[in-house]
Amino acid sequence: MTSRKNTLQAWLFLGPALLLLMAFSFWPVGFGSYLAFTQYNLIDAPVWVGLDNFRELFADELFISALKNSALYLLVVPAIQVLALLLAVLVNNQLPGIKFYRAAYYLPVVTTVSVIGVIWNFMYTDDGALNAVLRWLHVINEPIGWLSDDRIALFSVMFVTIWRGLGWYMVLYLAGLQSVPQDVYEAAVLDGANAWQRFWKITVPLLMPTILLCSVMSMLAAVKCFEEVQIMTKGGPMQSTYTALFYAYEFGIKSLNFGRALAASLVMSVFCVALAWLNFRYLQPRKK
Amino acid sequence: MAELKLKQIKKTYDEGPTVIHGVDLDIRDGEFMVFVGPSGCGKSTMMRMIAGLEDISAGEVWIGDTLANDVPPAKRGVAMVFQSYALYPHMTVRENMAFGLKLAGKSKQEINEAVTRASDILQIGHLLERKPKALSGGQRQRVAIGRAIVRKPDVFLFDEPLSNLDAALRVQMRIELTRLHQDLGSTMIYVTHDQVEAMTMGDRIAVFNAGRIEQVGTPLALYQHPANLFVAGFLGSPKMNFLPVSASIFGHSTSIRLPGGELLTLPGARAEGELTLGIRAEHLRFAEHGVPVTVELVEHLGDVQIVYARAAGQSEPLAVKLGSDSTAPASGSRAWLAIDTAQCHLFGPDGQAIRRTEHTF
Repeated sequence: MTSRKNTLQAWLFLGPALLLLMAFSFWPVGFGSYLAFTQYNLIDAPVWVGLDNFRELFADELFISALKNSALYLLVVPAIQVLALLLAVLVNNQLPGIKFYRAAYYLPVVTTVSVIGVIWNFMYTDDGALNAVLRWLHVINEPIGWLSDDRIALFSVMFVTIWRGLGWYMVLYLAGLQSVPQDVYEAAVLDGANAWQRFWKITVPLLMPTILLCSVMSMLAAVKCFEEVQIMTKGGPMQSTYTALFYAYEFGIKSLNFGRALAASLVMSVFCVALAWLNFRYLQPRKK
Repeated sequence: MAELKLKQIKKTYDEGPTVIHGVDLDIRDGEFMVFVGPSGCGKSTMMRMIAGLEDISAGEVWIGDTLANDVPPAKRGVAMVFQSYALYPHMTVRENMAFGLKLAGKSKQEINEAVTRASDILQIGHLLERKPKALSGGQRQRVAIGRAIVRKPDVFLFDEPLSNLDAALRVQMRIELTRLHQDLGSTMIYVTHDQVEAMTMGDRIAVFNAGRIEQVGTPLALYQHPANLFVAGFLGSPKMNFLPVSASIFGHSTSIRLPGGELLTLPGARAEGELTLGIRAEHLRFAEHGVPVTVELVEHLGDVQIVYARAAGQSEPLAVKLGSDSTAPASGSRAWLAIDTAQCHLFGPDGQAIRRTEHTF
């Protein structure tokens, strides 16, 4: 077969996937990036405004506050990673009924976010289940405004994100744990490693590729947090749960200020790329 | 170095059958003992119980003067080389070998000395900074052995360590392991299902079958005087030929009637009834008269030829081993086999060997 035929064949195989990528990834990203430098309201043609959108963006206290909230939201990442890894180690044991626990922890992942929002709104109300339990345990006398107190509302929403995503990362870690050969642990036992040393010196290093994957995924998910905010708080109270992506949504979909919304999205994209790079830089296993 | 005693060792899984049925075995200090047997016979389970990786359901494991049943694996003074090598993939060769010593709190100097000594013995000094995935199968195997050596164990345990190597490398490593045993003089237990490894490496062999030891002895003793049909059939390639015969005592000999009606006299044997005659392939030869057979297949192995010939009414062909300089009959031809009666084995209805007294002609 000639090399020209080979090339044609390669393009034919790649063609469908490339077309889909062009239509649903490259084009929206490229066009969106262009629109970030324009004034655009979906009705009139976009008008090039240079860096005006970005100047306005960084002059807007709401956006700065939203950025801070999104950055704070990254606290979710270590919490969810540590908890998911611990859960995975626990459910990796062959104990009676362990499949039930695996399924139970995974259940929030397959539950729609609107249902989760309604449930947790109920849990978080003044007379909701959470306050009732804390009162019954005599931990509190007055109900805590989980979603109404601007000092803790963001953390309440973060907790829901953790609860919702825990099962997903647990399954990924479980798959990683089950790919570690049992005889490596047995060799470590013979070498005199106790349970903690086996976890720290064998399990964790061998799980680094999974930790990297989960870390990048959870960081991006945290930075892009929108659904929980939209359903539970709408950015309130006092804009304390206003995240950067929620800002983009408010300006784009609600105010039809697409230029500003896409500028905010572009800033977040750069932020995401930087975070992903940091993860790869420090978590990727070194090759020798 | 240490001797090792197994006393009435049993292994029963919670929801399963008993896999080891009261094994007794004494392994001498500095001995190379091979556990051999087919897959699932319990030899690896036995080794894992010695290592402490499996609980012992009943019985006692003595390593030296210590009852080791409740001693943690790392404190038993054993080191194990796994079939899959079980190297730590994220550590370099040096780190792999040093891991156990580090955990034991040895000083850097002690660790370096031990690693250097082991790497010199195994000639892997140039690989110390590589990770396992950058090594060939044979190199990984050496590292796994090195990891065992640095711990200076009383007993080395090898669990089918050559199974993942190609044929040529397996032969090379077999020789190296035997040499290592001679150099270190340590007690070694070696699990394999490969009878060639068992015959060539072991000072003694324990033949396992269905959770029991069928026979223990030197390789030649087992080959020449198998205790039962299982050992006779398991050791030797091609496996021993078996023929159902009827026997009657005739003075100090036993008269044997072969399935085709031919008569043989076995001096030194005294048995009667329906028995099994065992003949190794090298103790059969083609002759002018004898047991009539039809030649089915001739395998030329270079140094020897294996001829498969079927006697009338037999389901299994008889294997005949000939030298490469002999002329093998053609496939499909009729021929006659002569049996070296001095080398034949007789097995009773229970499968146990019937001992023959020393005899002269």
